[in-house]
Amino acid sequence: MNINIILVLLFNGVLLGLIYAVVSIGFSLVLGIGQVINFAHGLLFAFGAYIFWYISPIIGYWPAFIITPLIVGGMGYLIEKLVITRVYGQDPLFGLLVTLGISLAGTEIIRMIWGKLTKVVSTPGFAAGQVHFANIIYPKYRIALALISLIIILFVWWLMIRSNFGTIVKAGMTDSEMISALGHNLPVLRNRVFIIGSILAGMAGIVAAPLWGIKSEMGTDILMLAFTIALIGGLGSIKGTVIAALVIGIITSLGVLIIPRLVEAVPFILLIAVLFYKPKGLYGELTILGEVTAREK
Amino acid sequence: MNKVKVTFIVTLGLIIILGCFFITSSAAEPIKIGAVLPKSGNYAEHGEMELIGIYLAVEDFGGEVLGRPIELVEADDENNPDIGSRRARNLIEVEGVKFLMGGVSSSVGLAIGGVCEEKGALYLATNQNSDDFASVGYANKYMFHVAPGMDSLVRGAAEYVAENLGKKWYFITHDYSWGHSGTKWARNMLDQVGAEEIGEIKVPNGTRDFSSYLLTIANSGADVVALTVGGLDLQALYMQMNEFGLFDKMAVWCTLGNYEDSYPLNPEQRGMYIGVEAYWKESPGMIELSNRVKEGYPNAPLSVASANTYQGWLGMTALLKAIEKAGTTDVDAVIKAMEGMVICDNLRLEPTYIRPWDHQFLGVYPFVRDLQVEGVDIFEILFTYDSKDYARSLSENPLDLTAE
Amino acid sequence: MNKQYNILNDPFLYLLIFFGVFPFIPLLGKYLSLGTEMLIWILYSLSFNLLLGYTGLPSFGHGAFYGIGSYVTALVYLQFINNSKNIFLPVLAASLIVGMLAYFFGFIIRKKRGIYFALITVAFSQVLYIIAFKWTEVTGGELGITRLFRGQFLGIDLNNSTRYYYFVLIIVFLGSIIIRKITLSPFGKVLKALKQNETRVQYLGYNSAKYCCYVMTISGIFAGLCGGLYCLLYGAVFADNMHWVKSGDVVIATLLGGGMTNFYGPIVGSSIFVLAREILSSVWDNWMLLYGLAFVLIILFMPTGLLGMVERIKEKKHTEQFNNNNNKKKKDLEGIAHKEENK
Repeated sequence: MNINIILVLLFNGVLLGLIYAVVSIGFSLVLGIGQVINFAHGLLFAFGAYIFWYISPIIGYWPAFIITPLIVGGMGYLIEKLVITRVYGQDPLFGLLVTLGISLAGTEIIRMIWGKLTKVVSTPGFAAGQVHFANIIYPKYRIALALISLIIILFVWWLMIRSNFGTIVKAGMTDSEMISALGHNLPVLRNRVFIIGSILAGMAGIVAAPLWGIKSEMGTDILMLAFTIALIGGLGSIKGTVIAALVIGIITSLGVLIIPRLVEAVPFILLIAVLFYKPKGLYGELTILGEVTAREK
Repeated sequence: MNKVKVTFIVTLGLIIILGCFFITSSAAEPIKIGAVLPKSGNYAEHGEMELIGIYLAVEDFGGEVLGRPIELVEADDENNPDIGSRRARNLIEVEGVKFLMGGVSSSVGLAIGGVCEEKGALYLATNQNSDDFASVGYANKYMFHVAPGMDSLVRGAAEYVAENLGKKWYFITHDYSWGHSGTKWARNMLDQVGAEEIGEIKVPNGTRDFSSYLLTIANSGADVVALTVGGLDLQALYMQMNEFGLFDKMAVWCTLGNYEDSYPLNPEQRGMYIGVEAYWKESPGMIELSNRVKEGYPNAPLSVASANTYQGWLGMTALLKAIEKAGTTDVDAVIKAMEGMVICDNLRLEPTYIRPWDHQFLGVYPFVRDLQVEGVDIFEILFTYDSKDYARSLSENPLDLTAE
Repeated sequence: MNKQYNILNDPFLYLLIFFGVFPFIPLLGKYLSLGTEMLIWILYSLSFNLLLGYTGLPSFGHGAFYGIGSYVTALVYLQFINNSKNIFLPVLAASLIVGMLAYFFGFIIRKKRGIYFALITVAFSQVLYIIAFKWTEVTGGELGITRLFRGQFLGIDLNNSTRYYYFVLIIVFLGSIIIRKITLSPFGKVLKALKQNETRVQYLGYNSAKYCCYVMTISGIFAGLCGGLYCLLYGAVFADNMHWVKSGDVVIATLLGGGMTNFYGPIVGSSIFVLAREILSSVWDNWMLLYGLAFVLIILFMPTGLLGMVERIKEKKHTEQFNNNNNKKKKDLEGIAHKEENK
């Protein structure tokens, strides 16, 4: 086996991981910090892709890149206000079911609006073509997307870890009463986190669309991946999500050399292992969901 | 009123109310024909195009056969064999349908075939390509296979590929039985055409990302990629092959592809060699069918007749002709009438023949290349072949459905 | 409170009557397969509700038990009894084998609760789904196993749809009675207590993990049984039913009827769910939209389900009546007091 091919697959895995990270990070934040299992994350991801596909020929690549996440964020706002606020504090299962319902209904709406045929996004001019190094051909577009993903991740990291907003929200997660007492509006905070999660989902859709095609099922497809990565990495932890995403990306990429048939099952097996031995995930923090595991032993 | 009675009445009431929606007309005069195909989910647009073909065939017969009106009953198989077979069963049990057709997914089709065998109804698998439909173990006398099996499609093209595209083949196999069958037949031809297998990759159903596979293949020294991948995964694969510049390095042979998969791509992204079941420009008859699609169904996903449309049309036409020939709607008589039938006015340049011992429809099929052009004329026909010469022979597939 | 058991007050009597005459109802009766499926779902959702409604364990992988039950039935049928065609063995095998798997699984996750429990069940069932889809040699892969014909049971040929319907009716009826007995037994009471406050139950000396393991086993046995009956109903098995989104079907059917608060909830919910799914999908291509919305509306506004709503309405009426009576009495008393004053 050629060392070249292993290196390239590794590189490919890292890039894949970065893209997976962007896809999962919104879900992880909403789950860890907002404490809602947002199964509509996949739907917002799909909307991001479809809306981008629809408006970019009209207003251009970069304007669409900025406007689409805002639209998706708006959708997230609506979902949060109308539905999620009613399930805060209740059994998290309800959050899961209600967002699952939204996802199913929303996917159907996508089909009704945009039809059943798959859509395709063309590579924008600035990233067309391939790079050639040592007998390997690699598409420039992927590299560009991976860089964009990296920028998005860094921005989110800054937002949540460094900025004031992030600190307040995290505090709100551990002690909501205190935060309210300090004068912060908790419902508004939660709403904002959900919107951020939705914007991220939308951006992820834009990033993933040209790679994987745009079809109405893309939301449900991605959901499994997102929550597996989020759980393995630890809810609400950006570092955890990124690391978990990279691990899965690399395994998926290299797996083709070893046991391609079982690659599909690997994320689930990892998930089962994590849920058993480290339910908080690699870097997760105790959340309301974690409370139940504290009851054990 | 106590809890018990309330429970009972609520249940009963709701069930009866819902049940009343099931009011069916009595099956007297019209001949009911069932179409079970995907209306939602992965293959919805394939299903829609197929249904249009079926409608057009009914139209061609004047909407009636044996002096009785044709009543088409449709059901959504949701691309799920469980649901598809359940709906088929309902059509037979409740509506009294004795003739069914349609479908895109092989697993659904085989399931429906099983139901039809159990219930004694006739089933035409119109767009499913697995060779299981005409194979020992699955085939039964109530099932007819309109679409060509992978045996014909692959073996018909293998020689051309080896002569013109390359002799070092790398296989991409969609990891389920249909995918395996494509690769199997390609392997079957290796010796005959002087090609060699460089490697194979099995790709799970629902794969989004083919990057690692493509990198491996690009590095393998093969000059032909022989792929048997379906539906939506095919589109993602297609786009990514383009991204990775694979079309510049090697020839890509898609053993079975559909217009619906190539059309949505941008012209610069195309470039495969494809085994198709029909192309709208292959004959004057087909062009006319296509025009009817465009004019009659402006909201359809495509504005031309795809292979799905044609095979839907062909299946219904064959059925109606058989009913006419048999002079009765008795299922066994219709089966006998269909076995060995030759259909000359099949819109194609060569007639269709329904082989009696395996109930397989045989005919002449095109092998195309898709072009980097705008518009709807996206395939270039490279050559045609007669599936009679390439479908499995009796010795390869010892079956005799006429004897049952 | 020891009420004398009055059979006339027992909902099961009426349900039995209703389902007993179902094949003879004018229009509805032709849908025998649908009716049989409804019955199977009733038992299936009752078994599921032991976990969700009674013990508070949200299992999203129940479809896996059901699916494995179907596969076991199909495989045992093909392997062992192709000749004598007695279907007792395959169905029994399905229940036992799935029961054992359920015990094993229940043991492993006996200490998990809440959302972690749910997520582990999803993960496990997806792994099983992937195996079922890929292990073509055994499960037939995506083609599944088809062309199974029902044999006989105790000498009665069950290929006839009506006879099979009654066969299933009897089994479902017996199974439901057993489940009901379980819920009313001391074991069942502990389960209910577990749902409300596990710590207290532990302090009372019960090993809650063991109970969770046991209820999982019992639930699994019945789910496997239902899977087997389903396999024989349609003569085929496919992997699709093991996908976790399909497991969501039984969750919604149970919640719809009111499984969280009422034993009979799943029965109502399943019947409506099975029927509605058929009707909606044949009427409207985009029916998934309504299905999704139904999910949302039920969770938001009717988490206690239909029967829960019925109970609330009854309570309201009771309170109203009570208040009316009180007001009347008040008025009477005031009236009398008034008269007294005016004298």
